[in-house]
Amino acid sequence: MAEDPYEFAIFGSTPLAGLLAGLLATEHHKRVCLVGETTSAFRLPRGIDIAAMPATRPESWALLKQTTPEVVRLLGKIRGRPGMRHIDPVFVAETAESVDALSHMRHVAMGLGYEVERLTESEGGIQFRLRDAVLLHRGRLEPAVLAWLAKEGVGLLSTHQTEATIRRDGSASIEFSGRAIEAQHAVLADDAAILAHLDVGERDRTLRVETATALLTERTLPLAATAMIYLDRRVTLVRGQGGGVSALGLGRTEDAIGRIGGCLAGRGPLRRAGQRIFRTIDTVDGAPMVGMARGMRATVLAGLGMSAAFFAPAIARLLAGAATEAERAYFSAREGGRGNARALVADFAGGATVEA
Amino acid sequence: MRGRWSPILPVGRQLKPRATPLLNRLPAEGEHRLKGAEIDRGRPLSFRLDGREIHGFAGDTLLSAAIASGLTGAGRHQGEPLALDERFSPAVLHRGGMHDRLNALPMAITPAVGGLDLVTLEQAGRPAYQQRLELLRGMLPAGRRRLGIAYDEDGALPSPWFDAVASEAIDADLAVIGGGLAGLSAALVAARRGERVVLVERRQWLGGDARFFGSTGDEAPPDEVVAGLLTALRSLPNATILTRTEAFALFEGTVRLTRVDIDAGIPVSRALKLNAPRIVLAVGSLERLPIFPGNRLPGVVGSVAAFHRADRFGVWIGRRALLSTATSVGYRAVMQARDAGVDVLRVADTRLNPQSRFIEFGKASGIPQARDLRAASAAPAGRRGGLLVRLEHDAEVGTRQHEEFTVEQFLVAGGWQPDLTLWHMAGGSSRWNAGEQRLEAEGRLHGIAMAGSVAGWRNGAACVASGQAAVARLYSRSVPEIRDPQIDAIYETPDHPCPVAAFDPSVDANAYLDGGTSLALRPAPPRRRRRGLWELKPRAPWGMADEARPLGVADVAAGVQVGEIPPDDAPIVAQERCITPGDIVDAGSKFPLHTPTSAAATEPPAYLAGRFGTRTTTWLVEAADGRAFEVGCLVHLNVDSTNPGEAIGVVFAPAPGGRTGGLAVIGKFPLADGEMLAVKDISAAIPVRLVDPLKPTEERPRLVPPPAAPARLPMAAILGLDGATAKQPIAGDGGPVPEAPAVPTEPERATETAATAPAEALSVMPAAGLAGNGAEVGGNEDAATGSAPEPVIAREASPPDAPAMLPAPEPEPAPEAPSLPEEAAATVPEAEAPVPMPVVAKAIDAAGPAVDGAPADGPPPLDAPLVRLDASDPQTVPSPEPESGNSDGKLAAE
Repeated sequence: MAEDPYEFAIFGSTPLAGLLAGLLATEHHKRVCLVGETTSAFRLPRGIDIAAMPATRPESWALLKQTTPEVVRLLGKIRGRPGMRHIDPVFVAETAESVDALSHMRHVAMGLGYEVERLTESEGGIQFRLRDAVLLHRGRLEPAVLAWLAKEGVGLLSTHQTEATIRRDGSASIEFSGRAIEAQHAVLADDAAILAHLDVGERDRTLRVETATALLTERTLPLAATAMIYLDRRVTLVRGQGGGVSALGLGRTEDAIGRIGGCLAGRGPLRRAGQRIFRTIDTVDGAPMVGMARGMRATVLAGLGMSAAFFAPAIARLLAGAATEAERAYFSAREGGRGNARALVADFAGGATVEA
Repeated sequence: MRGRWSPILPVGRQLKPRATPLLNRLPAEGEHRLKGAEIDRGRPLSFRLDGREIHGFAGDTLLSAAIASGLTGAGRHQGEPLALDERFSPAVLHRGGMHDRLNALPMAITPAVGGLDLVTLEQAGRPAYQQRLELLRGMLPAGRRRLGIAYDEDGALPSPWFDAVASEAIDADLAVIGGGLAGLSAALVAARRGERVVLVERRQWLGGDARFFGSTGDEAPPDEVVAGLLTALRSLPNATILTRTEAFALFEGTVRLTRVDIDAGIPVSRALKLNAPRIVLAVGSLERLPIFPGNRLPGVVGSVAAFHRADRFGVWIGRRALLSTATSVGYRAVMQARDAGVDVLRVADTRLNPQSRFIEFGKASGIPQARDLRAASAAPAGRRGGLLVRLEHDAEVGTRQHEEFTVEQFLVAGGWQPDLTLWHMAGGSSRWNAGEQRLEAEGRLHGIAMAGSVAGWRNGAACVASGQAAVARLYSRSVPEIRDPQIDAIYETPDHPCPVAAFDPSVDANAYLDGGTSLALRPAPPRRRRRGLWELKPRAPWGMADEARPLGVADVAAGVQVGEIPPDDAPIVAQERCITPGDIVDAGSKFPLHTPTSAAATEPPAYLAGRFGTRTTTWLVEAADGRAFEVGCLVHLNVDSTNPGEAIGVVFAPAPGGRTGGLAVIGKFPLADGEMLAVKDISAAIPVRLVDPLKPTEERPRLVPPPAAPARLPMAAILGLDGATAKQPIAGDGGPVPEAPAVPTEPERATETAATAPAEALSVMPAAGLAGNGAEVGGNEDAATGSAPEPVIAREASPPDAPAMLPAPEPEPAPEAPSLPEEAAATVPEAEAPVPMPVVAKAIDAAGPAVDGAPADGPPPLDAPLVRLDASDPQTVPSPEPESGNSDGKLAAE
């Protein structure tokens, strides 16, 4: 027997997906379901969520500056504070191109009121420290978010028990534990959802699929900062509370692990405590993509990078038709299917690919 | 007393270092089976381990000899003694080979050889004085019972052979991992087919746990079955059996092995690679460790491990024993021990009303039994060793009503967890069986088949048949039906899930999730904690998930049972965290050291495209104080403008030719040499002067250029509006830059010189949908529409009066024009010819067919046929990394 249809079906398991579903339900009074899987604290994170990014576009930073306090307030309200902390991430650039890009980022961010200091330059490159950025801990945040979603009446459908079909008009038909559920509009809010529900031909040409490796190390010496982002090595390191390091490396697995090893060099024997190889999606031009899939009207959210979760309030407004003019302009310039016009909003797409 | 047999000595009797080797040995005489099938009591031997003299027999392993000699502790963890065990024993090195940890030997499978002088890996890494202290400590009673190793709080037991480079590669048609009934059967059936078969077994004997389980009904005794399979297998020249060989990694047809050999009378470890297109995993199941405080103290032993120690090596700790079991088969070990003279004080069955033939046998032999009784805690009994064990009924939890026993050996039987380590490593999936509280394999992997108890089979005949079935499946033959009949539950109560003791805050001892190498502890329930006055915010909760350690598959199962891991997540957590904890090596990165931006750069990077409009120019910006501007400094109209969104340009490169200032791309039009703008440095906004525009940057079709466009011509000249200069290269394309001529005449407009007033310039329609802060200053009001694809000449308003400024400097000789990118260096095409696109756009074009996602005239019709998406992705999944092999199972299966 079919239930009342949902207005939105958010597909994804990341904080962005959860926050988006909740905001649509609470702020915009939409009937929403979230199709995803739980991310227990034991699982290796497949991304990091931090309110900072190696972006050079001032409008991206301006939007982030506007939406981050909204997310922080929301998490405080839903008892999500244990999943949130303030850190000073360090961005590391080791080639001329990345150094320049970081320099661009720094000036833009500082112009908007962020504190970005240039650390001591060395042969190994240049490091910039951004002060007081918010970092989310997915494993700790998820219980609070799920409890909030349940309380607000958001349908929670586990990926393991669903079979979903997304139609060309963007609506979704979901089979969940014998129940038939309809949703008027599907939003593919993370990489796994995009890969699961869109064929290659349905993904915008801007999107590229890459192999990624998530690694957890045993306890080791502390990092120079809680989070370190190596632009050229395409590695992100986050220090865990247990003394290990969660590492994410993009590219071929063998190379990614070698590059991660390079970033953690000088710590003595370093051993793996966990590993996961998966696929991730990024944009070729470095700009986020928020818009329709190719040939179908489902909304795709991709390339938002490490700050994705913090854009949730603006994306929710966009989906609900309540976006401000600036938000609308921002996202419309970053839609899919714009072909060469996206070059006008291109951003730094990562440093030179460095093979170990 | 060396070499003389003597009865079991009571625990606590102090022995001299050169004491009998039979401290923890069962007698060879008597009507019992636990006499040590592997050892030769007529060939005693001794060796040293961390300075302690260990006595054993030929046939012993280092571990069995150590335990037999009274060394039952592996060290301390968080201040508590930790049992030395088949699944937890430190790696050892020959004292002369301490420099190379890759030579380390696993105690549990290394044969004992007389005269060895061995050092544990941990001890080898210590300074000499600490090693001497350990020697002294080993002479003390407590030191003789326990190694002096303190295990880190986090991190698995080091197993350095995981990192050794394989010294030999073995090729086979079929690899069989596990030498139990299923493995032997699989190897035999494949070898009889003529396949080259290599069977790998960790222990020194074959048959797995068959002797422990015995036979059911009218099955042949396991010894007979094993002997028959073995005899047949050994008669085939194409079958190779490798014992004392452990498989620790499996990935796409390659199995990583560590093997212990005897080389010139000395045990050595070798790293091997076994390559086979077909692999049978017959690795059996792990016995679960019941979870209670003190569950890994020396003396606490799994029932299977206790049985094998006694059966194979005659080793038994002390003479008083207790059994806590959730299974019927656990009774077998104590019944046989009782026959060997061990005093079994009690069998505590956690099941409420268990029925089993073993229970009846136990009653018949007079072993006291109790039901619905579980282990509550274990603690050291005192300085003389032994354990104080508390048992409690479920109903008595928290009431302090319990039974207490003092024993030397406490056997525990917590049920079974299929050993899915290699299966997960290879990309296999699993699911959580809530009824049996364990992870079970799910799905299939190409080239890998499972057999025996790891695949869920129970009785011996079924295990044998499953081995044959596994081979049939791998060779795409019809798979025979396997019957695995079980005795009715009325007569044989099924095994219970692994018991978990209730949390008792008054008991301050470690409760481990499993007996493996991870040392993962059951976390205490979160307690309410008053926030101190000095704390501004509550402390983040600490959980098992925060511990940076690899886990065993049984840890994951236990984690689900204690509520730490959601059941749905258990399969993925097992795939991710149950890995070979190999080293992460800095493989070195090949990229150039950081170098400053090339001074020859004249093109802004691709991510600045369109940032300041579609029509930008490149200028040198110079400050009066001669400072150099950092790349990224924003250019503003004046010093009062600081918002990055209002910037009209940015410095993208250092000034060329060693000049001060910087190269900036600016989107304001028009601009004149000497015009004043502002650059926002880190600390302040600095007035700057524009100097030397090098080249214009356009992204739209241009008009015909002038015939000779000097570097410093106004835009009107550059655009060739004088009509007489068609198809001439624009300045900056590599040719010599001519001197600045007078401003050319624009058709229909009065001629003005550049020195007196800026010429009216023309602009091109901006691109449609421009985003960002494109500063089309002075642009045509029609620019907002941006719909016309062809260039439209728009009249630009006259610029406002220039602010008071220093007079424009005399034009300096232009520097040698830098080379341009290929497309810009070509002759400017006719207006209707395609214009060169930014590099990023080219990448987009190259990425796929030029079909936009959405039709230009709107979304697809709603009545379009429904499309059922195929979730499979034709894009091949890259292979997992060879060393670990852990990958997304779903992706691997696509």
